[in-house]
Amino acid sequence: MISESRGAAASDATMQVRELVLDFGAPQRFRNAHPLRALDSVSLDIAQGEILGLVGESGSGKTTLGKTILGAYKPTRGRILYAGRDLATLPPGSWGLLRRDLQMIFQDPLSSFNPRFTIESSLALPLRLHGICPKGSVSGEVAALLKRVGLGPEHASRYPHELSGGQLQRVAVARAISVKPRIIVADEPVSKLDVSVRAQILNLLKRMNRETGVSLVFITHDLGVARFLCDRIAVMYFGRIVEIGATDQVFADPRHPYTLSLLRARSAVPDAVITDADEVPIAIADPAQACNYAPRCARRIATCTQNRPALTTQDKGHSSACFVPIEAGTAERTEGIAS
Amino acid sequence: MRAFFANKLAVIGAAVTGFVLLAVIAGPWVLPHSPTEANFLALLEPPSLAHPFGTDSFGRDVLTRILYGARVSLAVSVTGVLAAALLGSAAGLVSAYVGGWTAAVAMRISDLLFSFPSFVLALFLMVVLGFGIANIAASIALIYLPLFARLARNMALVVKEEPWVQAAQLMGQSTFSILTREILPNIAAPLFVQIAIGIAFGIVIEAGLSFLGLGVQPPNPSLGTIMADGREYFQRAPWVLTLSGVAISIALLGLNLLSDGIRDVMDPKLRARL
Amino acid sequence: MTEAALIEVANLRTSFAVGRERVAAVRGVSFSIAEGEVFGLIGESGSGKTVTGLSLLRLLPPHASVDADAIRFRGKDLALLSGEEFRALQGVKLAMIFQDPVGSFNPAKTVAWHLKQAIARRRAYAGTGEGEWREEAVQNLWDVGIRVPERVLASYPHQLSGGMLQRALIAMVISLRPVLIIADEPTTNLDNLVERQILDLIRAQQRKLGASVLYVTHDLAVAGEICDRIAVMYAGEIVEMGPARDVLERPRHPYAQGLLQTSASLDRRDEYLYELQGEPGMRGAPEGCCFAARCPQVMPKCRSTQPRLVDVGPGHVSRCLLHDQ
Repeated sequence: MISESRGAAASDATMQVRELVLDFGAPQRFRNAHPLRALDSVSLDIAQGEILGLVGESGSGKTTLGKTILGAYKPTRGRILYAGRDLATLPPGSWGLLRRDLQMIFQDPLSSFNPRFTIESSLALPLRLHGICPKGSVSGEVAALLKRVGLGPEHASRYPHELSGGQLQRVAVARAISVKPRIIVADEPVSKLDVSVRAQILNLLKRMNRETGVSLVFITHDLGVARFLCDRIAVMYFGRIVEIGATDQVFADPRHPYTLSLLRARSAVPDAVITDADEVPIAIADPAQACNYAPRCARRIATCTQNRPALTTQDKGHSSACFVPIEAGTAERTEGIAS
Repeated sequence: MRAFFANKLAVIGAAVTGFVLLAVIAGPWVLPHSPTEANFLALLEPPSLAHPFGTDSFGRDVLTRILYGARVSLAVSVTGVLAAALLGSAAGLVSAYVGGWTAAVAMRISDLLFSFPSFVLALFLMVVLGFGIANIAASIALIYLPLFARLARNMALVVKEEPWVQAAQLMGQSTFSILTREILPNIAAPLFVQIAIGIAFGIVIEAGLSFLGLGVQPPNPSLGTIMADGREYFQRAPWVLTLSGVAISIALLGLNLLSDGIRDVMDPKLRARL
Repeated sequence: MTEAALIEVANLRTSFAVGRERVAAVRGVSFSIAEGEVFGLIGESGSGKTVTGLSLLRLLPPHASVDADAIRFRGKDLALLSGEEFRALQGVKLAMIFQDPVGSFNPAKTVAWHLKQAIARRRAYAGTGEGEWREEAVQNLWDVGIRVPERVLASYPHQLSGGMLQRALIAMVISLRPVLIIADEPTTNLDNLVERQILDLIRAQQRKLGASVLYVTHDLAVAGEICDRIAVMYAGEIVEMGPARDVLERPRHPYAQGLLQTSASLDRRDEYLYELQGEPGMRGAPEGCCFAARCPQVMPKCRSTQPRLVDVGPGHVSRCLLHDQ
């Protein structure tokens, strides 16, 4: 069943995602084009105060999932349970205060701010909009926010293009926490930053989580970073969660062949990747009733192309969706995963 | 600002336009002659000290008539173009952001209007609406509406995909706030350029309509009626047509240079990137 | 290595005209690459690593000015070559793999067209005949791990994934049989699994061709895998240079040490990562060390004296006053 969150029963989770399906593009009348299924029955829980990593390559659906739970996309099916409401079916106008609770940090810091307004203006807007502090003290609050993320008050009067990527990402963190949210979705927040700046931002995010107890959904393709920051990890492959569990467990004892490939890709083990060099298409009658990793999987057996594997519990809090999971303890210790 | 003054053509454009505006606004108070009173003792006189542009077939001072006429032309053109800019841009913005059936229908109507050559459309509208300067302004507005709508819509379609717009949506900003704060300022520059160009063309349209007798009615001066008059008497008094034509050209040139200048300055400059 | 140097760069200086000022991107960089060696250039934004590569191939825009005491290719000074002579070398003996493969392909032409061009170019240079290019193209695609070469040949760039396109680009480059390949962050935009495959591929092809590679990257781990020697750049200068193993495992310059510490603390899963303060590319006062503004071991004299490169081990140099007592 659904893996349990850190120490708490599933029903205590702040947000519960159940069987979420998202198709892009309505089926065309004149063509047989299938809509693109970006999310394929995704279920997971987000506990308060935890850092959950969504790990995968491009096309895995990790960014789409992050944005969907914030309400950026309307799911085709499924439920997103939060604060007693189902966000999946909530009309845009009824979100109201919920918008405060759910915030986002984007991948490219420069384009996440309106270039025509100063930093002060961009930070003041949410404060005013949600009445976070009385009108007179907005300036002071902005300065305090900047200080909290390690920036000086002189940055307030600057424009986005005058700040570096790292500085802007700090402002993005400031903006996200300014409304005192309960969940922040961070979409690859350090991918576009220089190596020496990444540490600064990662530390900042961790500190915010420890200080305020805000939950963080951390989307990344970088396993080393995920291992440092996240309490739990969900590995995604083309719209499905293939493995989920506590970070230590997933890294030390991966059960899904794809997870193992990802881990080995970053180590120096030669010929480590267990896939074919190019996808030679195999015949699958109904992709919806098959494992979506099967075409690339060297461990594939007959049932993999005929049935869809469900997430099955391998260990406490650790599940994977595979008919031929890696046996416990066979994976070599994955050392040397550098950032 | 500094960049604007560095662009020589833009400065020339601004200067010429400024001069024209000054002449048009202040001139009539300075010059002693009346634009409409006939003076049969001084018919078709060549340029002289008393009459720098000469007199027309009714003995009226051409320069005075040009300045009064320019007032009318500018007022009509500016009103029409500004109306088009405001309504058209708003329509384009909303249709880009909100989308849906109404937007699609609105854009198709706009395309329809847009497919007519401007002057033909102007003529048609004048016949339908009747003569008079208010209707000229309305025609100019209707002619330019589709242009602004399409321009605003195309740019808004691009800008609305930018992450900062998504950030605003996720923050719970109202649609109005997103349209006016997040999108509009980032599409404004080309719209301003288009306004300057539009005013120039508006003057031409008004002059053309008045030239044909569909616009400003005699004895009121309009750049168009002056030119019509000048054309009739071209053999005997070429200065009327020539000089009024030159006056219009200078004004248009100034506006065009100015609009080019605005465009150059507001375009993101290519800086050397390391 | 006692082989003769393939490329020797002495005191390369590149600057750009920005408005009325000149901004220096590369400030006196010197290094040499031996035949068959993989030389890594590591740095962050503002380090000048990409500009260095582009300077060697004369690929910079007109407002850039490139100057050097010497840039020698197999002993011959490249500066002495005319534009035409240099163009003959460019692309055939000296090839480049860019970060974004999409930009290296003409979107209106098939992969076959590109490979044919590359093969024809090499043959024209070598003086051999036109002949059947298709066979060679298919073989090259196979060599880079493409198992459906005919289909890829017939495809347009937009029909291929990032990884496939990068492989096709590498196939194009090996068609030229270059002697020096400059690779500018070729795997940055690729997913992990594909990145691994491309890295293995580059290494295999390099060995097969015996070509030298100037590998420009910000990724220490990648550099460690593929490079024989490494130079670490900061704000336009080389701050440390030596055998890859030595530089990455026992760095001597505070900047390189800082990068390594961050990476190590990530592996150790410290509660908080080791942080280098300040922004990449941040320079200290012009009369002092370029890294003074960020250096955790800065001394007063660092702000007023420019350090030179001093020996800190066999074939290993570092630009720091700590070693220059």
